[in-house]
Amino acid sequence: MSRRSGCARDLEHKGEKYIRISVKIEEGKIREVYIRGDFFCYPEDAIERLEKALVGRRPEEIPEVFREAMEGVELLGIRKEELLKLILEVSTCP
Amino acid sequence: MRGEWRLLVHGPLTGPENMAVDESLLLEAEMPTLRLYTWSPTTVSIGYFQSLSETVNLAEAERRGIAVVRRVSGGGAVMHQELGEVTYSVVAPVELFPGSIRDSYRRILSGIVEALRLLGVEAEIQGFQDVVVGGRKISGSAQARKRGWILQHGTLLVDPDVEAMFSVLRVPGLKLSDKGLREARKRVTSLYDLNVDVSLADVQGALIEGFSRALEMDLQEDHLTPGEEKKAEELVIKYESEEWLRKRP
Repeated sequence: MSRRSGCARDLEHKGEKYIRISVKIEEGKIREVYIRGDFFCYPEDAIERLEKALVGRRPEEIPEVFREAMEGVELLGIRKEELLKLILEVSTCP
Repeated sequence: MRGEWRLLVHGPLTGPENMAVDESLLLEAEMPTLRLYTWSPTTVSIGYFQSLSETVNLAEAERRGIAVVRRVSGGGAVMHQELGEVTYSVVAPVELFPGSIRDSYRRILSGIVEALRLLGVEAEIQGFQDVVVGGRKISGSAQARKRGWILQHGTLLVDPDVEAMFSVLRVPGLKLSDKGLREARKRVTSLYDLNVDVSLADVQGALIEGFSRALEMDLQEDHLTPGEEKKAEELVIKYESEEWLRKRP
């Protein structure tokens, strides 16, 4: 895949808990995002909803999509701001 | 004030059966419940958000006849060895645990600390989900929440095969060399390691007493209700499915 059309990136982070995020970006939009690790999230399905909500979005839309999807959600082992920062970092093609 | 709790103790079940019973309690229980159980065959339970292939060495697990099941709760992977550990579940309405989620974890863990004290072991809570002895982990727990109820389940290591444990579990940042295994061994301990010579039944007895003191339970031994049994039968199908296991491949 050329740099122009997109990239696939992967980021691991070990804070209180381990988290790994992989994304595929195509034509400036998130095509796939996959979040996994040994953290906790209440309710659990919020992470799947977040992944779905991010697909098709441009990196600059991430903060708003994230805030909407994660409203009222509680994370343990990683802070919300940290998770958002990691998603933003991994979603930027070099 | 002491509260009425139900006690469920039964023989070993498979991973999907155990996880189906726990989730059925989370979804259906009408009374706070303490459940104590074991596993057969030896099973690795992985956290809801963990990648199967990145967490478990599947070829090694298969070679050793070790099964794998995905939990409804987050957190890390645990190996539930047939004679190596005791698992507990506490299922209760959130109102019984006021405060933050972390507070509720710690309050439940205080039952394990109390159980260990009864066995002559001074332990303490580390972080929000582990119980350690001299800095080494002897118990880890995970909590799920649905319909305003809590399910917290966790393991207490009695006599684990640590070599098997770290051959099958992939720990991020830990290489599977002899040095890696030595490092991993230093992170965990068990009653056997601490020279506490007890049977699994003794450990279950200590947990019953420890939880009932720490959580002020009036325990009454009981069985699953027909509704819980029916739900558990439905849920076994989910926990046995490849789709659920590979939810995060």
